[in-house]
Amino acid sequence: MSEASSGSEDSEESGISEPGRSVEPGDEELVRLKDELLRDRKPVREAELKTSLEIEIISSLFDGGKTVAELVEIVFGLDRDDADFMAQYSRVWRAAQDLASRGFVSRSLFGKEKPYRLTSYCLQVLFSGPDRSWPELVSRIDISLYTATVLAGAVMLLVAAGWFDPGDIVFLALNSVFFLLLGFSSLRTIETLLRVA
Amino acid sequence: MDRGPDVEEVEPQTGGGLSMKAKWTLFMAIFFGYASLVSLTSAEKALDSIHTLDPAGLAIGISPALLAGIFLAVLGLHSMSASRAPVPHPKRRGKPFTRWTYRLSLLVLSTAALGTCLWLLAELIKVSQGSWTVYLDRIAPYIPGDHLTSTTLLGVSLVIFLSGVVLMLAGRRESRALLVIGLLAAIPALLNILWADDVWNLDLPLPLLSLLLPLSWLILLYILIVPKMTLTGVRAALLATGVTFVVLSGAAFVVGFPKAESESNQDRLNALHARILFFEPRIGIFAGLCFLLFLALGVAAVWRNDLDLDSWRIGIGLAVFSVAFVTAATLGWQIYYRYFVPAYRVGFTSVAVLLAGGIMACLSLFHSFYSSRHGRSRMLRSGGVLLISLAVSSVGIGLILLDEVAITQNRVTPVPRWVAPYSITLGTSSLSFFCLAILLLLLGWKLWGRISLLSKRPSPNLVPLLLVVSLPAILFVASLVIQQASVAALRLGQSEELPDPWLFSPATYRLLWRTGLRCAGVAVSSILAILSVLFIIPTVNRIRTR
Repeated sequence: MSEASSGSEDSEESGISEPGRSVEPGDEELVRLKDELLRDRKPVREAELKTSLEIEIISSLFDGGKTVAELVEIVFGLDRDDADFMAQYSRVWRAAQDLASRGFVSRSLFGKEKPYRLTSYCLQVLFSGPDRSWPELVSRIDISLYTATVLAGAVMLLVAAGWFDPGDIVFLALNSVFFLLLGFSSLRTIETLLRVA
Repeated sequence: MDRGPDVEEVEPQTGGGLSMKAKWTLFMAIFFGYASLVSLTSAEKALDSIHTLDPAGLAIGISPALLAGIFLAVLGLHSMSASRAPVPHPKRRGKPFTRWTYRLSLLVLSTAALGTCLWLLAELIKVSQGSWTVYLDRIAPYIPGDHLTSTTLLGVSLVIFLSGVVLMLAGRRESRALLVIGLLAAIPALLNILWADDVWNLDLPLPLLSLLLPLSWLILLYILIVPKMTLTGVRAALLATGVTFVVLSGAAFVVGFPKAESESNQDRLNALHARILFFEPRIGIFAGLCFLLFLALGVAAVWRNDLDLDSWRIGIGLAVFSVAFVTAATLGWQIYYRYFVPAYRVGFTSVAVLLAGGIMACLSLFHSFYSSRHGRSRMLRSGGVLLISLAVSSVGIGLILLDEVAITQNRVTPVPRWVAPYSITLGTSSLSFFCLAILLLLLGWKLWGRISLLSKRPSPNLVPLLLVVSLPAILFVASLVIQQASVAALRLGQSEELPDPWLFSPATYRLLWRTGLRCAGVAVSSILAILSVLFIIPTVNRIRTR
């Protein structure tokens, strides 16, 4: 495996997206996937992309981050002076918002221009073929982890408030368990956030 | 905002609702808010429980770290057994086991780091509630400065080494660097622990341990995470860490500063001195750990980006920042000691030299970040300035140590001058600083004058470069340890319980034994310094000829 593809795998595995990432010469897999999206459209249903507009948006973003206006120019071939530009702009904006709400695209919170870009989660979804399991954004283990953390914290709050006294050793053990769960949960939360950021 | 105001005006008000990113940001904020509430509410209860359970509470209190250690050991064994398997399990296809191990390690380490950091926060809250004197009374008799430093260093080096083992088993190339750094950093710490006779005294107050653990775990966490982070992430981590250190150390100072106005001058001076003795090891720990942390960040950034422009910018910037931090901490401490404690003064020249080094380091910090926009040449030049300023600072520290030698020689103590271990230790450690100064001067000059030194991209094997970067740091830390040991020796010389060296009592033997060990430690550190100089020169030449 080449160094470039290895790095890509690292980034994907860690759930860390690279903002504004464009297709580089070594990313044959990305190029293949983009062609597949536009030509074959086989993985589209698997990725739950609802409309062809969403497919076009995702395909356009393979070449790097783009603003809504740029997407309109690319997808519809319209110039800003065209009369139909505003209407199509609204369509693209709504579609992009919908994709963002599902975690497929993301944009910066700050900055003059805030182009949309593909998220790490989107790439994972698109790369998951029919023989692979669907990547979950929040697994059952994660949910269990968050629940356990909240419950441990609630017990600690009750003890601190004087509702009951389990004894020093038990309390310290509970305290340690809470910190342990909190650490696990925090990292999972951050990783999930980075996957859709 | 998208391009053009005309476009922005017609932006529709309906869409897909909150983005997934916003939802998760909100969730994370609520989650951490809840965790903070729980931590703060239960902090006092936890501390009370610990203090009633000493030393059993000590073991339980640090259980997050202990659990993390157990996890690491299990993961290491698991990785070992997995690496022996001739054929990967079919279910693991596409998800390499090593990555699973790596991610679990991150989970465990982040757990320990977060837990112990919150513990530290709880300690500060406890202190702010007025029980500071309780801690002070427990701490002052032990004066554990050198013990703390060495224990910290040993813990850090051990953790780094263990993580190197785990990563090696997981097949990651970062393992080599971690193994080397862990081993080398452990040497001075082990030596210093050998010098002390009550290192593992369980009466060591818990707050001290609670200060040590989070920092050591944080270092390891960043070492492991940074290679996987984007450059923006590295900057964010750096900023967060720096702010955390500044806030925590600032809070410690503010909370612990003497407040009693009605006390007599002598009482206030005594209280001040006691507080200085309390804070001194912390300054050393903060400075040393910051240095290690930023060094690790810089090395990791360089490693990850394979010596491109950004990595050099970050690496040099981080190194400069660490030097500025260490210099500022040392300088602040020295000035504080000299001008607020009348019984302890040294020459103004030494402080002035150190001050000059600190100012130069700070200036080079700004220059480095500023010039990073203008190409590699200017960046390397600022890196050279950084190393030269560090050399000046090292000379200043060496001069201060020599001053202290002179002071101790003139001080009336029960110990004859010829057997005074602190004189030997101070003298040799000052020589270590001078060696370090020469080394840094050499490297700084290379960077300053020979910009073409690194213009050609070296091979991906960065171990020699890593050693070049890490050895001066290890030397610095070793010198820090020696300095701490010498301070402890000074206090030993002032102790009324010191035995008469002319009587061959068991106590005398112990004193001489400790003295011998200290001298041996200093000798080993000096040999390390000389060896590193001998190693670095040909390494630099090799890089240069590539």
